[in-house]
Amino acid sequence: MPPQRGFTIVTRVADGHVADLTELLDAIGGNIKRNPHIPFVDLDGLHYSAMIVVEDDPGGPYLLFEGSIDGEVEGFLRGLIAGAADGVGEIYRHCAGYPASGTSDREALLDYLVTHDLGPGTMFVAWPGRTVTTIREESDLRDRIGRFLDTQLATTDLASQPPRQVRRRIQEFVRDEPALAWTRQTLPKPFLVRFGPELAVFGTYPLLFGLYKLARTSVSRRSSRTARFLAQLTLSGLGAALGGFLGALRLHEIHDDRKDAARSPDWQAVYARWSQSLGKVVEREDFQAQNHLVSVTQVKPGRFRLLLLRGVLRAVILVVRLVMNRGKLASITSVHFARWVITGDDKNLVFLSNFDGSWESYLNDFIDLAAFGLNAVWANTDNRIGYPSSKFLIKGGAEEGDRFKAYARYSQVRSRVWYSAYPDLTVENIGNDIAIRDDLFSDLDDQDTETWLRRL
Amino acid sequence: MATCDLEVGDLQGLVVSGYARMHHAVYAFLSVVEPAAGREWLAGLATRVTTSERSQERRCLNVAFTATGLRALGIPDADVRTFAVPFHEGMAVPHRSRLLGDSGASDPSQWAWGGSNEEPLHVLLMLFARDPGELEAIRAEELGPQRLSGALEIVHELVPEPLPGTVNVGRFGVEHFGFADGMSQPVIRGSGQEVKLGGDDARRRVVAPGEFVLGYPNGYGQVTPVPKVGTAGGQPEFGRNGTYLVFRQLSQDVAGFWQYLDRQTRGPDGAPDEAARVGLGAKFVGRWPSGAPLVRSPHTDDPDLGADNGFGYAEWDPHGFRCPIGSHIRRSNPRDFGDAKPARNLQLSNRHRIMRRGRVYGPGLDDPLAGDDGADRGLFFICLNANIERQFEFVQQHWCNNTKFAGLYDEADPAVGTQPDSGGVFTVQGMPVRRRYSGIENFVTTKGGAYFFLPGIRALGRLAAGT
Repeated sequence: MPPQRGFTIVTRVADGHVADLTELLDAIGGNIKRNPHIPFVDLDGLHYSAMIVVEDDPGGPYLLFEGSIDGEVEGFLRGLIAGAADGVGEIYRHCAGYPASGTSDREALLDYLVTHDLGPGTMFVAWPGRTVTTIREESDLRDRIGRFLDTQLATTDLASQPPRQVRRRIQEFVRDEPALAWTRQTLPKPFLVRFGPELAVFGTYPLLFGLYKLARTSVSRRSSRTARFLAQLTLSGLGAALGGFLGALRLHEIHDDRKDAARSPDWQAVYARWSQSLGKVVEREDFQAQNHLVSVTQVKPGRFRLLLLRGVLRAVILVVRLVMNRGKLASITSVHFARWVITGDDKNLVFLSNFDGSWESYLNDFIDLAAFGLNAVWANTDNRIGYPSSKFLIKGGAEEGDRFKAYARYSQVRSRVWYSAYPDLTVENIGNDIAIRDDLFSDLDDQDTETWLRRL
Repeated sequence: MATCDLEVGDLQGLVVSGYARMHHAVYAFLSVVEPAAGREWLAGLATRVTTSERSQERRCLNVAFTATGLRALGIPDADVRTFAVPFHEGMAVPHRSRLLGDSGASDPSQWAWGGSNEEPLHVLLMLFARDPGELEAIRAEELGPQRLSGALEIVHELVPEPLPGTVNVGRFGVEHFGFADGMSQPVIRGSGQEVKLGGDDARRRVVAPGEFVLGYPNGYGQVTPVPKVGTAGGQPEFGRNGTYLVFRQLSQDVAGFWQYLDRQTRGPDGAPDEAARVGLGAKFVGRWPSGAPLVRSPHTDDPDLGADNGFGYAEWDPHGFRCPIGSHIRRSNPRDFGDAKPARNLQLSNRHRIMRRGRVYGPGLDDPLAGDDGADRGLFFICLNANIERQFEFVQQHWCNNTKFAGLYDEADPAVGTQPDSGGVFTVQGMPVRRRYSGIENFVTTKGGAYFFLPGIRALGRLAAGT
C-alpha cells in the first residue's frame, strides 16, 4: 500500500515562448481525458495533476507542473516519460534549460524534471493510504450495493425486514459477486492514521509536564535554592523569548498596517479594476463536483516573515500528518489534496488545492472554520490587495471576509491543465465509501448496523 | 427608535416589507433613452419612492437598476466596477449559468428577458397597489408618456397574479405546486421588526443588518464594502443603505410535477393513491401543502402547524427520516443541521439567508393530473441580499443544486433543482434502507433574470444629480 506523495516541478519559460506554451496547455486542458499529448487517464496512481503558467513574476514567467500520486515521484515520472515522451517534450521545449537531446535521451529528460522538482511542500491528504485504485473500487462497491437495493426494494419485501437481515442480504450479494472479490481483503490503515492523535498527545505531554515541573520547582520550598534559581532563570528565559517573539511580531504587524493605510489606490479600487480579469480564472471553474485552485502570493520582505512562514508550515505538516488525516483539514470536509510550496527563490508562496464544490463555498468554509489557520500562513504574504490586518498572527485577517476573498481571487492563477482521477466523488463520499467497505463484514451491534445501513 | 440603528428613512420600503396588503403589482423594465432626461425623471421619481419609514395605505413604488442601467445614466464604468462582481458582470454569463443551473431549457439564450447584456434592460420599476383601480391609476401615471416620454422606454412588463392568487383560493402565499410558501423569512436586526419575536424565534431568524443593507455590520461582524460613485465629499458613500435585488422568472411545470408524483405512487394494481402522492410531494418539499413542516408532522398534513417555523433538524431529524436530507426546505435553509454543534450550524446557515419578495404569476391549474393547459405560470422570484455570491448564489448552487449537498452523492433539489438529461434522483432516507426515486424532470425552468441594485433614497438623489 504505497503512501501518497506530491511533486512540484517549476521551470522558467524560455524567452518568447509563453504564448505557444499557454496555447498548448489550454488545448490539453480543454480535452483532459483524450488529448493527444499527455494521457492523464492512463497514468497509474495519479490522483490529481495540474499545469499552470505564472506569468507575472519578477524573475520571468514560469511553468508549474504538479501532481499528487501513489508511490514514489521518480517512478511516476519515469512512467510518464515512458508513456508520453513526445508530449512531455512538446511542453518542456518551451522551458529554459530543456536538455538539447530532447526526447531522445529519456534519462536526461527525467533528470531535468527531477532536478526542478521542489518536492511536495507542506502536503495535506484527506484519506492517507487510499490509492486511486481503492477509491475507485470502494465507490464501485457502493454503486453496486445501491443498485442491488433498488432492485430488491422493487421486487421483494426488503423494506419490511429488520436491519440485521437487510445487512445479511447485502453481505450475501457482495460475497456472490465475482467483481467484488477484492472486498474480502482487509485494507490496513496507515500507522499514523491509526495512532497519530495518540502520538500527538504523547508528544505534547512531556513538554507540558516539563513546564509544569519547572513552574513547581521555581516556587516550591522543597526544592534547593540552586534548583529554584535555575528553574526561575529557565522560565524567565522562555518567557522573554516568547515575549520577544510576540513583540517583534506585533511590530511587524503594526508596520504592515501603516503600509496598508498608505496604500493608494485602496484595495477596493485595485480589485474593481482587476475584476475584469476574473473571467480568465472562473471560466475554468464549476464543470463538475470538484474544482482546482492555484494561488501565488508574495512572501513579505525580510527574514522574519520568511522564517515565521517556514515555521508555521512545519507545524502544519506535523498537525496534518498526526491529527488531520481522516478527511478533515481543521473542520473543513471539502479538501482532497492541498499543498503549500515556497518557491526556490523564497519569494512566493504557492498554494495548490483540489476541493469539492464552488470557490465561494470553499472560501466560506475556510473563513468560517479555519480563519486562524489561514492567517497563520497567509498573514506572512502580500499582493496588491494586501492581506487583511491580523493581530498576533492568528487574530483578525481572514475574518474580514470580503477583503480576504478579494485577496484570494487576486492571487489566483488560471488552472490551464487540471486532471482529477475521480471528479465525481467528494471527500465526504470517499469517507463514506471507506466506512462501508471497512465495516462490510465486521461484527456490528444493532446501533452500528443502522449507522452502516444509513451510509448506503 | 431607540432599538434601531438602521437609517430606516433612507431605505426603500421593499427592504422591510413585501407589501402583503398591496394585492396588485406590476414590474416594469425600462430602458434609458437619453441620460440627462433619464436623470431628470429620476429626480422626480425619488420623491415618490416608498421608504421603509412611511407606511403606505394605497400604493407603493420602488426602483432598482442594472449595471448597464447605471452606465446608461452616466455613471463611469470604473465606478460601476466598485459594485459586486455578479452585479456588474450580469446574471447571463456562462460561468454564472453554471453556478445557477441555467442550462438546457433554462439557458439564458432561451430567456424572455435578461438573457443578453446587449438588451437595454436598465431600470426596474416596481408598482404596488391595494386594488385594481389604484394599480391602473399608478400605472397610468408612472408608465404613461408624460412621465417617461423622451427619457425612458418600456422594454418589458410583468404582471403577477393579484394576491391571494388563484391557487387554493383564499389562502395567502401558496405557490403553483400547491404548497404554502414564504413563512420562513429572516428578520433584520435594527429594523424594529425583531422586537415582536420571542427568544427562540429571534435566535433562529434575526440576522445582522449588513446581510441585507450595505454599510452595516454583517453576519461576521464586519462592515460590508460599499460601492463608490464619484467622490462622496463627506457624505455617506453611494452604496450605503442600498442592497442587491435578484429577479428571476421561474416557470413551473405543475402538471409535470404532479404527474411524476402520481406515476411513482400508484398502487400495485395501477390505481392512483392520493395520500401517497401528496406524501411524496411533501417529502420533495419538506412541508405539507398547508405548510406544516415534516419535522413536526411526519405522517400527515396538519393545518394547525401551517405557519410553524420554529423548528430545527438537529434534535428531531438528524438523519432525514422525517424531512429528507435532499428536500427543498432543508436545502434552501439547513438551519441547525450540519457537521458542527446545532447552535454553531445555525449561525453558519444564517450567513446565507435571503429576503424573499417574490410573487406568483399565471393562473392556477385546477387539475394537474388531467394534463397541462399550456398557460405559463410560476414565480417571479425576487430576493434581496447584501452579498449576491455568499447569499443568493450560495443558496442556489451550494445548497439547492448541489448534487453533493450534506454528503449526498448525486441529486439536486427535487422540486426546483436543475436535473440532468438522464433524469434526476431523490433519496428518501429511512430504516432499514433508503428509497431512491429516479427519472425526475425539470419542474422549474428559468425564463428570465437579472441582478439589480436597489439604492438608498439619498443615493437616488445623487444618481439623479449625475454623481
